[in-house]
Amino acid sequence: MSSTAAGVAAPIDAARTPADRRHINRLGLFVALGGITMLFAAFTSAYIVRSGGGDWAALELPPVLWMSTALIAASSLTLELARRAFRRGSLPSFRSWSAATAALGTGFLASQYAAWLSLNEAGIYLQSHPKSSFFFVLTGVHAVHLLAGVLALLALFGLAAAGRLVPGRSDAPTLTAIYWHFVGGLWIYLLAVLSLLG
Amino acid sequence: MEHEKQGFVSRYIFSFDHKMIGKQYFTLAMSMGFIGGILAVLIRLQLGFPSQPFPFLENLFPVGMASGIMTPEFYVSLFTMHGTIMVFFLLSLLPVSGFGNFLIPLQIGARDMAFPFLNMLSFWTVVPGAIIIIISFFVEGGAAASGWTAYPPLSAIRSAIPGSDLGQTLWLVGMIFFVASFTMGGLNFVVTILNLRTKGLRMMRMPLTTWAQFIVGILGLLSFPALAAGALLLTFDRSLGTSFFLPAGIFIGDTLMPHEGGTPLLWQHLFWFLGHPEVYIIMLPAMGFTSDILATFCRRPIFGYRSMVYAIWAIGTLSFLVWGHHMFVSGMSPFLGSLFVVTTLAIAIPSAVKAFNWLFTIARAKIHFTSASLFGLGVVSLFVTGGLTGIFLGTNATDIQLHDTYFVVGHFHFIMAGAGLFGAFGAVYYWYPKMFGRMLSERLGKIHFWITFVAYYAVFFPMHYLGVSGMMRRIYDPNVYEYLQPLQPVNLFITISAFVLFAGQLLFIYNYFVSMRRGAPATANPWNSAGLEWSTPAYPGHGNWEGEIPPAHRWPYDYSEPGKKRDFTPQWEA
Amino acid sequence: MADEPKGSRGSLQGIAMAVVIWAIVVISSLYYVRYGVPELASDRGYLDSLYYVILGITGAAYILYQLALGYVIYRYRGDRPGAESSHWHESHKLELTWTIGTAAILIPIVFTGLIYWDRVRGPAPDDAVTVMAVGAQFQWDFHYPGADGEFGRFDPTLYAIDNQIGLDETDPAAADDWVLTNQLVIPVNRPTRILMRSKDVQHAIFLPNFRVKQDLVPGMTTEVWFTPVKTGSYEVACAELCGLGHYRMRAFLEVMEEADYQQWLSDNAPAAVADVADPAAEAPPASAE
Repeated sequence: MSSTAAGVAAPIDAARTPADRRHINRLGLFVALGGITMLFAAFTSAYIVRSGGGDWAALELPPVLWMSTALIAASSLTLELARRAFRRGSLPSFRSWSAATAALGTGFLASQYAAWLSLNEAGIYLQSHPKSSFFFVLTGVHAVHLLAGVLALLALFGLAAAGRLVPGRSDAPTLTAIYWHFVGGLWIYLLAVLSLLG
Repeated sequence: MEHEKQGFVSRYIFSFDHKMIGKQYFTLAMSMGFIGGILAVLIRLQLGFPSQPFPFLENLFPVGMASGIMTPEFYVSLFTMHGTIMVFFLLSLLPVSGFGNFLIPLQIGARDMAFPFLNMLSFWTVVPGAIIIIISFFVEGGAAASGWTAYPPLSAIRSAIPGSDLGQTLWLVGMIFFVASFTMGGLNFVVTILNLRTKGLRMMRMPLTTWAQFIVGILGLLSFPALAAGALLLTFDRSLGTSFFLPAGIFIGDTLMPHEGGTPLLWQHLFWFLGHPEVYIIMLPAMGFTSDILATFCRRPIFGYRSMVYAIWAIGTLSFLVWGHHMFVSGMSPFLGSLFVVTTLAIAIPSAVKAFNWLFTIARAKIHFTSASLFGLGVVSLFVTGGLTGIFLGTNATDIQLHDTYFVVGHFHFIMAGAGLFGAFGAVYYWYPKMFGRMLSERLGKIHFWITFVAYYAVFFPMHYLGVSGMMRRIYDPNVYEYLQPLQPVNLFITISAFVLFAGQLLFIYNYFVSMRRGAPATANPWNSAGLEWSTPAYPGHGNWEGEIPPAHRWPYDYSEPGKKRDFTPQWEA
Repeated sequence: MADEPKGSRGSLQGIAMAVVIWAIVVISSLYYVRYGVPELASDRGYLDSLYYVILGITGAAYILYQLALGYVIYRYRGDRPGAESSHWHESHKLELTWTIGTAAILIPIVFTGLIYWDRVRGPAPDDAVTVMAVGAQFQWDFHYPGADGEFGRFDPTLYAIDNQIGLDETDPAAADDWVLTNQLVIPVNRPTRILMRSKDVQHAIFLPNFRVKQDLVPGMTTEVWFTPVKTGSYEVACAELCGLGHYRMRAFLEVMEEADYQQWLSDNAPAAVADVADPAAEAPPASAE
């Protein structure tokens, strides 16, 4: 370990073993998910408080949201298949399933976009009334998180294509899957909030 | 040549080394703190000499002080930005991001933080935030002017006050950068402390500083997202015509606003859900530093280590349940107000535990008076003074009269700003040898302490008199009110003391920067401390330890064990 | 390596620290007594008593703790003869004592505070004089309901130079309503109930002599009630940052004997009614569109 040498460019991995590193990464991810949970908890409590306001009006959720839900549920499934393939060491199968997941995720985003458009066509915009404001904010912030997941999947796909993912060693597929399932679960939660509360 | 240049960049700018990142935070936080201090001086200038002309200042602030007289809108921007800069960019960045990054791996025996890249990213995320905050002074309308709490509608409607236009927009952007950076940091703290402790370092053997940083990491992760959510909703209200916080019928500048049905109280709930844990984010590290410093220089184990840890936990947990005490007279349900009284005053119990444990650490000691230990003792004094005045404010019945007066200003400058700042100063004096391999000048340090300690009391204690006498905070000229006019001598006294206080800090800045090159070379363990961080070389390089990381055989407070030859047994010795 | 940390054990610093802390305690406490709360003019003296009780307790704690701190610093400075530090660092008995002791002192404060809070925030008596305070950047308008005791409707689209509170004159209840700007007049020894709303941003009405403070929140009607017990003229302040003119958002509160108040009402109120009925006021200016 060079002590005071100038220009130590590379980061030092403080983890003692690869298992250590894996554990650290997973914990880091869970902690980050805790932060994201608090973000949506804050939005939810704002939603509940605001729904007590006199001008709160019901909002008919666009039916296309059911397609979104189906897409995101399917994507969790395909991602699990990808992860299984990875565990078996079948990289080509892993690549196809993760590409399929990214495609389904993109489909989800497109479906959400269709939902926004269908609201706009019905004359409902972000600022129309409080529930529509929350609808756009919640789905928008969620979409940003899902987009991050799509990017992670693409990176995963790229890594796999470049032969930098080693079955049995690389934990990135599992990390991505945890995040992805979380964001999927978050969507179910948001859908429940939007359809059941107010 | 080429190679050397690259070395400079990776070493000093985009460094992955937690120590260098910590030092980068120090530089940033001290620069911001210096600016925040200048703002404080200007605020006091106006209050000490209300609306008197200072023609030379016109050159510096041609808009805010045209013909040398401060305008009210400039004054409002000044205290808004003073609060924002000091709370977030000095008192959070220096003790938490700065010392947290610098110390955690050293104290737990790790080569670096768990996520070095994230660590670097987190620093370079807060830098643009700081720059945006400073730039906001120079946009049309001036910097944000709705207080550091940014209550809508004042912060939400662009025409409500000049600073609510571009200035407030930049404030929100700057804060979002800060929140992003700070939550990344918190994540790193929590994971590092949970996973990377050296062999033998059980959680209950960790130094109290690291304990504090651990809880702070959790608090930051759980509370800052609420501010992020609030800031996003506020931005939408400001720019996209939504009505989260804005009700119908707002009439400003002869214009009826198009908003509908929102409630400003919602912002207050979201803001204070962050805001109160934020207070403890600032204070807990200072409590940790103080404990470590007192143990070292009293040559005594910290008294009641276990209860100190429980107290940190209790304070951290309670900090999420007390935010409503900022809102007793806000129109919030009186019943809720009563609940918040109970949780708020419950915090006094772990706080008292801390205060008494410190007192008993000092008792039966053999105190060595260094700049660090003086500041540590200062924290104890300020903490008790500021903590006690909190009882008036946490009791809703007495808060009615004192809310939003200078009593509050005095209170939080003692407990949060004062204890936080003194803790950070003590920590710099104590750990500077590890930071730069050199010693700070003790002589300058002691002069710095005496000026700061006496001037601090002189500035902030009389603020309680002002508050009890009914002087509101955030007013540009108290003499508008007849009943406040007799208080002008107090205001003048505070102003003069504040100038002294500010001047005293220049000594510190001088000492800090000059000693980097000219200070006496430090040994590896100049204070004969028992903590693990002192097992590193005098000026540890990237990776911290040259050979194996030493295991922890004991807690870090084994001082003056009976029957031992030396008066301390280092943590790394069996 | 020496066994001692670098740095002075010198008695000078320790003695100085003790003396400075003691001096601060003495001076700060002596001056505290010189600055009392503003003269009390309402029935909320019990809040003052609670304040003084807490002041007594915290003041005693402040003085005792700081004196003790100064003492231990002086007593245990490193260079005293035979200086020896002790490894003793745990005493459950002591720690339990100050934990329970603190709680024991706090519990009565909490309960008294809660009881007083209920008294302050309880419903106003039926015979209260009711006024609506309307806050705006940067003035106070006090809206009297007139003889019918009912406030006329207001409509934000009607805000205008000559209709500051946006009173809707088509409402029959508005006919006898009238408004005072930056001045509030109330009778002594009768409960006063102030309803309040804001036209623009948040404000807070602060009556320093009456121990009254309450935020005005746009979109909400908040309220407060108290009983003035002393006649005279008092200042009313805004205590919540409301803009660049926050510092000069001042009004006066006039407390009169009941007879004077009635006289004042008959002298002033009708004129105000006539004012509102003025045809000029009925043509809304362009800005109110």
